[in-house]
Amino acid sequence: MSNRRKTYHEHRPNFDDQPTTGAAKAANQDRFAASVAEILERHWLEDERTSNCFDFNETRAEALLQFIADASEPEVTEEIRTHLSQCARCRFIYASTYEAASHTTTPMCAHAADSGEMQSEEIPSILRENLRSTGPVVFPDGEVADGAWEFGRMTKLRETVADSINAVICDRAWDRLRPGLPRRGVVIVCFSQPMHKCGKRLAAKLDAAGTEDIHVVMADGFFEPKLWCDPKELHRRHVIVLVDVIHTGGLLRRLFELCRKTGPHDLMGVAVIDQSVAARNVGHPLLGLWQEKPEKRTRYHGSPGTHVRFFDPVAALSLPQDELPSEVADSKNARLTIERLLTDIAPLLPYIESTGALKQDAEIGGAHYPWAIDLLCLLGDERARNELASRALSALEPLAARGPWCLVYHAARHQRAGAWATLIAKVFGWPIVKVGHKSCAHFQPIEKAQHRALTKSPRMLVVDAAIRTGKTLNSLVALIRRARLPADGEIASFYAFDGLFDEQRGDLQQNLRVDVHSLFRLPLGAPTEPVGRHCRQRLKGTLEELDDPKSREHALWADPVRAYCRKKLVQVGRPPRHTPKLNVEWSLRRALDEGQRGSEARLEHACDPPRPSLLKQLDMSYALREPRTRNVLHGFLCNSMPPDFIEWCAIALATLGDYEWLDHDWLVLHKWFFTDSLSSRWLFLACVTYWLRREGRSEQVDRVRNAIVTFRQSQTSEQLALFPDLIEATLPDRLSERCHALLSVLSS
Amino acid sequence: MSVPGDNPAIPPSDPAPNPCLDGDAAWSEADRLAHVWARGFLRNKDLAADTAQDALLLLKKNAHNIHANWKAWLHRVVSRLASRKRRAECAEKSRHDSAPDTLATLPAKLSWAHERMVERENWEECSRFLDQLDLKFGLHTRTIVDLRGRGMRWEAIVKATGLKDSTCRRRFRIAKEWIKKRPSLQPAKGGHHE
Repeated sequence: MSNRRKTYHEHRPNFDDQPTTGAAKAANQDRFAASVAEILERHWLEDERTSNCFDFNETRAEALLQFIADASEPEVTEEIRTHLSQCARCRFIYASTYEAASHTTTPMCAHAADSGEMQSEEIPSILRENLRSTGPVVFPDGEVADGAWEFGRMTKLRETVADSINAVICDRAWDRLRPGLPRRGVVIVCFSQPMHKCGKRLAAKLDAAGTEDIHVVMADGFFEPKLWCDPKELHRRHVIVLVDVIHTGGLLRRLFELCRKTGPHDLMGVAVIDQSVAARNVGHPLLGLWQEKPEKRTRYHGSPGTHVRFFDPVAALSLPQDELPSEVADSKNARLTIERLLTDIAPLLPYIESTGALKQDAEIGGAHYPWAIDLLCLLGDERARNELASRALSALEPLAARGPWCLVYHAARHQRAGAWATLIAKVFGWPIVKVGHKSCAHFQPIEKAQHRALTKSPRMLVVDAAIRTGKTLNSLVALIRRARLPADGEIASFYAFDGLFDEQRGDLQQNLRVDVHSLFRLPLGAPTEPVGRHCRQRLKGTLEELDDPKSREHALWADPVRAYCRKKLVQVGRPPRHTPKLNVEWSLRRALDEGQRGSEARLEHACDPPRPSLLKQLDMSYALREPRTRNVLHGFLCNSMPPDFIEWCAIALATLGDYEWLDHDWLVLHKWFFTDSLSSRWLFLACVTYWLRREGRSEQVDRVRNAIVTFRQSQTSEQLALFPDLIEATLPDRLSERCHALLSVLSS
Repeated sequence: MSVPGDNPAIPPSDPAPNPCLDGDAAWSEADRLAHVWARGFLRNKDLAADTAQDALLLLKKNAHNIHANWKAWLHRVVSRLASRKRRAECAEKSRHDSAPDTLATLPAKLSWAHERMVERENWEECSRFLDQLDLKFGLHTRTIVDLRGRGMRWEAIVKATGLKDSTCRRRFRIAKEWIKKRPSLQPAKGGHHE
């Protein structure tokens, strides 16, 4: 053993920043950590304890514990931070306690667990009279009970009554939750639309009480719940799951499981009506605002003659069977179908990838497609063209055995259908007839030459790049039949890509008595009318209206609206960023998923990562009118999605005349639109309020006006409560100015 | 058992029990917290278990007198007991080091004494530099280095300082760089001599 005396550098803490290897880096960091930790511990052991130290008395210890749990008052928080910067021994205590706290139950959950045992109060009559239904109701698990709690009735009640119910629920929740609530980072996950309204109100209360960083998230899907938010939104935050009624606790368990995956700091449940006294094992603390005995439920056997209603958990309403929203697709079957379709198209994937034929949000022939495979790209590539030709040869062999066919296509689709027909004609040597005129999308009375050509051949093969809805085929077949096809003539159709679902295809073949042949099955969905395009037209119309010299809308109040419309219409968007080429199989899987599940899948993809551009492509005619999609958009409007995402949700809903979301609670949760002096994002609200004034009902306009007035008062009265007369004259702040602008738009 | 400085706020004659500590759930929570906190302070399983047991015994004895937050009370007791145990452990170690030497252990002990001396000087030097951090780089820099050095997450450091995450990271990097370049902590030139 060496007796040498060690030099400084051998003992010194190692602070090297850039070791050469990972192992060396880890070792250096360990040594550095050990050195500082040891010095800190020495301070803990050797320094004098002062009256401010966290182990001086219970008051100081409690202050530390509350600080760690985000539950301390702002002034205490500041005092603790100052003390931490001055006292090394307390830094040690903080570090040791914080490490321990990260593995323990937080005060929020502890309080919920404690108060769960508290004496219950009777359910208020306003809830029981308005929200409790009678008569047999079948629940999603197949059990039937006499009556049910239907919080969805709130949407059908008078606004004042619904508001009172909301207030009763939120006051109760606030009273029960307040003692254990942290000071920042709270996420309220609300299952169903009525609970989302309650969640918004509760969040506004939290905000008024000084809690920072509050989010409200919409959840839906009873058997497979889904959170409609940025996946990072719940991470390391205090999550409260709000449900209307808990009976067996199955839904709450599934929601907890879903939330746990996002890594929250802590998790607890709040049920407005808690019927689960006997079955509380939901895995996390549960707070029931009111408790009652569990309903008596029996198994429903579908006995005929009885008038039962079926409970829809997302709407929180019971409906007659024929009004129940049907599932777009069973998710398990959908996944299997997608895998099968992908296997079928696998040989073509390399060509699709190399030619960039898979296109998202493509405009083809004046129609907008969420996803499309551009046949022109494939036909432009020699290897892809040969592959398609050889497949066409084998696919049409049975037809060719019957004799020659005449290839027919719509002249307006001469680019793709024409190229496709030419390729087939080359392979088989069949004649081609184009019907209609290429500059006209609709069929005209066919020309004489076209008529002659159609009557010549007994067999007609309608060809096109893809079939999506079957409308074109329908028209062409009608046209050919009118052209006096020989009585024994045959009509068939052949496509490169078949975008029909099985049921659609069956109906089409049966109705038209025409076989539909194709190379690949690819149900990517029908063409859509994107909401973005519609909004743009609306903005154009608004601007024309405001700029019209005959219009009286040239007052100052119209300036923000005008500015917003101009900005949106001039803004052509950022140039596309260079993004890495996506895997074509992944993209195609996504495209098929959207084709199968429609707007739901598109909204899911729009969340992760948040992309308002996908929202702009939602189908105006269907998706936005579907209740679930609208609920999701309402949900997006209230969480931590980026401002442009929120703006687009608001604009999308406003174009449909939906202004329900614009209330006092929403304004409170989005007050940064009004306070951020550097951002002009708030202008979209001016446009929305203008539309509301032009179209909305008078009571709706009054409601929004009152909401803005109350919001302005609640946000400014704190500083100027002593001088109420001076409020108008002395409120130069940004929030007040912007509220004033909105009120002017509404009042003009 | 008593802990130095533990003066019950409520006279011991007060017979009213603490309602928050009624029931098995509260006691099992107390048991868990005591163990977790003790482990956090001592990072030694056996010593922490002893400390937690002592703290729980005290809690049991004083349950009727604790009318404030029992968790805060327990935290203070665990913290004080833990520091006392650690001090006792250090004292025991130094007693062992200064025990009469045998011929076999003497050479090693002599070298350890040297090493400890150098080590002590190094820590003092290092502490001196750490003490200058707030003045040089702004308030809370020392806190950032201390807490990060103890392996805390940035999130906890942000909470303790109230500064932005990026500010904390930047200050830590700069402070570390600065300490690294102090001449007295530089490696000796000319290599080591055996």
